[in-house]
Amino acid sequence: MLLVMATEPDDKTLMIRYRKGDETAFELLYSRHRGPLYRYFLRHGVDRETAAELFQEVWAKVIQARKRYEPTAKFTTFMYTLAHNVRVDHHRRAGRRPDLAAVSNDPELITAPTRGNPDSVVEVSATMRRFRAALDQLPSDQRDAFLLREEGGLSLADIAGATGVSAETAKSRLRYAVRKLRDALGAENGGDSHD
Amino acid sequence: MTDPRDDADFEAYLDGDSPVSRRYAQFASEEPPPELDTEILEAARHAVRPNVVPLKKSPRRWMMPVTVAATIVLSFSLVMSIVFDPSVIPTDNEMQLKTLLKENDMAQAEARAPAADAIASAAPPPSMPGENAMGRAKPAKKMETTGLATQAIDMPAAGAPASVALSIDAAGSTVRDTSELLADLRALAPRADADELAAAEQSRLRRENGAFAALQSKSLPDEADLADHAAGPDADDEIGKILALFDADEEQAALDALKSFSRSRPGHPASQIYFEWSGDAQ
Repeated sequence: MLLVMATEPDDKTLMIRYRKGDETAFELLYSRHRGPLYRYFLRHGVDRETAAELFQEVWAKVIQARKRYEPTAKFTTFMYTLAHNVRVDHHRRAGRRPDLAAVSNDPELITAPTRGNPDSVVEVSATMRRFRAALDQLPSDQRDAFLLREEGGLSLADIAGATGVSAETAKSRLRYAVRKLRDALGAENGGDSHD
Repeated sequence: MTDPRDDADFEAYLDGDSPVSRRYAQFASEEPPPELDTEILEAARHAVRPNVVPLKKSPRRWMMPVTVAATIVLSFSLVMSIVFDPSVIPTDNEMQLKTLLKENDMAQAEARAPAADAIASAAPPPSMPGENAMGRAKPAKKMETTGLATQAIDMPAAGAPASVALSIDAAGSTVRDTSELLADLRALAPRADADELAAAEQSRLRRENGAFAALQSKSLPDEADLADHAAGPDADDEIGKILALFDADEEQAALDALKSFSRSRPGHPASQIYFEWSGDAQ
C-alpha cells in the first residue's frame, strides 16, 4: 500500500495535471473519490437518484474550478467543502429534512457478508441494521462530521473548514457521533464496543 | 465533564483504530452507477479538450497563394512595362536619328572648312574688337528625321546662345543686328525635343496665322502664296540653307538668300519675319 501511494501522484498533482489538460489525471482522481463522495450523499438520507444528482453537481463544480484551483489545501478538503455546500443547498431547496426512513429501509444500502455460516450472516446483518439506524438517527451536523471523517478522510481542522465551524465545534460533533455509534455497537455486544 | 473512556475511544477513533470505523466500512461499499461515471468522465474530457470545430473551408486558405501569384504577376507586369515602355526605350527612328545627327555633324565640319577658307581668301573681315567677347553660336546641328517627314533643318545646339554678331559695313557704320532675325528664323525650325518641337510648332502656327491674317487683311490670298505656304519641306530646306550660311558667318549671303526667299515666298512666316526685320515692303 505504501509502495502504491509512493508511486502514484497525490490528488493535488492530479488536479494540476488535469488543469493543464491531462484527461487521465482526472480519471485517476475520479476513481479515487467516486465511491466515498457518492456514499457521502447517500448516507445523508437522500435517495439514489438525488445522490447521483448531487454527486454529479459536485464533480461538475470540480471540473469548472480546475482553472482557479490552487493547491493550498488538500483536494479532499476542497471537494468535500463543495459537497457539503451542495448538500446544504439541496436540503434548503427541498425545505425538509432527508427521508432517513426510506434510506434505512433500502435493502441495497445494507451490504451483508456473503460468506460464513448462516447464523453469522444473520447476526452481522442485524448489527448492520442497528448501526445504520444509529447513523441515520444522528443529528445532521454530527452525521456530516462523521461522514466527512469516514468517507472524506478529513481531519478535525478540515471538517471545521469544510462545514464553516470552529475546530472545537467540529470535534464535539464528531465525538458525539462516534459515541452514539459505539453505543449502538456496544448494546449489541453487551456493552463492550471493542471487537 | 467527559468520560475518560470516551476520550480514549475518541482518540483511538481519530487514530484509525475503532470498531465504529471498521463496522462502517463493512457496509459502506456503494458505488455510483457506471452510466454516471461515463457522463462525468466525458464532461471532464470535453472541458479540457480544445474545441474541435468541424473542418470547413477557411477563406484564408486560398488567400496566401493568390496573394503571392498576384504579387508576382503585378511585379512582372510592372517590370515589363518599364523595360518595354516606348517612352523609355529609344525607337528605331530615334536610333536612326542619332546616327544621322552624328553623320551630319561630321559632314558639316567637313563642309565648313573649305567654306571658311574661301571666305578668308575672298574678303577677310575687318578686325572686330568685341567679336571674341561676343562669342559665336555653336555650329547648328542638321537634323533629319525619318519616318515622319523628310526634312533637313538647322538648329543650334542646346543651350547655345543665339548669334549676336553686328554687321558693319565698309564705312564702319553699324547695320541692323541680325541676331533677332536669326533667332526668329531658328524658332521656325522644328526641334528634336518634344517640348521644343511643340514650342516651335506653336510659334510657327502663330506666325502662319499672323501671315494668314495679314493676307486676309490685304487681299484674297493668291495662288502663289498658297502654293508657297503649302510647300513646307522645300521652304524649310531653303531656310535651313540660309541658317547654315549664318552659321558659316556668311551673313551677307544669308541675308541675300533670305531676301530672295522672302520675295519669292512672301506668305511664308520666314518672309514675314524678314519683312518685319528689314522693313522692306512686300
